[in-house]
Amino acid sequence: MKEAVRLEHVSKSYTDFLLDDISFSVPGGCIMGLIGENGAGKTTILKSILQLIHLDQGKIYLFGEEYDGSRRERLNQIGVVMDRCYFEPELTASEINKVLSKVYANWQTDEFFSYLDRFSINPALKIKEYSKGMSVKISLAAALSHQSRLLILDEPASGLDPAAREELLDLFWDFIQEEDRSILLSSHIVTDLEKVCDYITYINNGKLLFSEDKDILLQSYGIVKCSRKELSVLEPEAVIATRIHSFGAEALVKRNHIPDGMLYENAGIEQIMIFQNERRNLS
Amino acid sequence: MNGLLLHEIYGLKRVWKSYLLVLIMFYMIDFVSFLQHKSHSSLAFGAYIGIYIAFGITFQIFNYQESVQWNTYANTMPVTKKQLVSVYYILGGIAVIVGSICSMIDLMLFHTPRFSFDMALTLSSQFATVVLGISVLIPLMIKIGYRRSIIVLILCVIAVISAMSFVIGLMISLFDRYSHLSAAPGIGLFVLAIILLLAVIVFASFQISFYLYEKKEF
Repeated sequence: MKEAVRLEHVSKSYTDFLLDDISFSVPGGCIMGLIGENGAGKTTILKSILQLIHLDQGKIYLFGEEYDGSRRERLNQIGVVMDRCYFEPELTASEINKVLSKVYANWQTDEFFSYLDRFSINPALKIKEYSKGMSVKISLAAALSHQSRLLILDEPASGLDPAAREELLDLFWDFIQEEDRSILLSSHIVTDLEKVCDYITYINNGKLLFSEDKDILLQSYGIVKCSRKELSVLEPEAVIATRIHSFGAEALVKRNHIPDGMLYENAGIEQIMIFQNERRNLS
Repeated sequence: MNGLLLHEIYGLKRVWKSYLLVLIMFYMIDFVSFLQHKSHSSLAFGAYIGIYIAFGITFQIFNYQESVQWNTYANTMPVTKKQLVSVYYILGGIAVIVGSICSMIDLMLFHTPRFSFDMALTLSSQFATVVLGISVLIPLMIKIGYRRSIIVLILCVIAVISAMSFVIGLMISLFDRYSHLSAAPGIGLFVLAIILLLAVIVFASFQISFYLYEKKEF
């Protein structure tokens, strides 16, 4: 299956921030989570894919073909949900339907209204009267109603309650059931991404720390909790990073290098991120 | 493109009632003056307000777009940047034409019993001023945003009023000099030249706006 998105050596500099040489790809038919702290560069990456910003260097490929912002009809295949609703507050959902039906070549009015029904959104209610959750849902309904092959979502779950977030994750699962559909989803809520993503890409302060299959990632690492003396038993090449406490030490270690008999815990995505961050700070 | 235009038209529904009310109010003032003088109004508020509402509408489009950052989302849709810029000119143009018609209605109802050269000059000078103003404002608002454009506009208001006065004064002096030629082909050529000049200015404004919009980041 073709890659949905590929970034090659993408860089973008601002006054006080540098997105530095980012390369990764979103495989077709998968959900990729783009994780990072606030200000890490997640939104900048998503904007670079959509050509909302001008890159200093690098190339973007959409569905296997280079995309430089010129062949705009390709955006018919991409549904975008940002962290807020960008529609005119005086509009109702019915009016949004009329607007978008004239913009997107494959707009599905029936599908849009069925999503509104599923989300319990009154088509006659104005956007300015929506809650935060409803704003995200209307954006999602719009993104899902024009036969898009790729969903790009920028922190869609921020500000949502846990029930709404679960509903969102279910929607992603439904979307991905059809072959050749992909999702690139940015968030700093690691637990959500762990539940639904196939791949995880971690960005920290403008740098790509890893982009990996989630299951391989989770199986590759373990956390060893031991004394500082026992830490020296571990092979240096196998230790990603260590954290020294007053009562002992923790180390993120490649599992296949952990000595037999040494106890370790499974490492979660969040822990892997924290240790990778430590390693980067030290280097 | 139709979808983009529809989005802005829907957005303007919050202000069209206010503008209509303002227009009716000024019509009423001219009407009262017309009744007092029995044949014509000595005031001309309604003759000018209609066309200047076009300014207000163009401003409002930018204001709303900026407040919701609509252009960020619009640039993720399968529309070209040229189409996104064209929306401002199309809506501004429609507003100017509708405003001109409203102004003409006021002039014909309350100022002169029939179409005259005087009325044509009044209208065309206002039309030219507003078209010039919008042609300057649109690239300015694309470059520096709605709020800073307002500040620049306030700071430049003396220059703007002076320019408007010059244009109006020029049109009136032309009337004084050439009114006896109102039926002559010469004045027709002159009017055509003005129209062509305005068309060139609007075209140049559009090209500048498109260039600036392409450079923008969202």
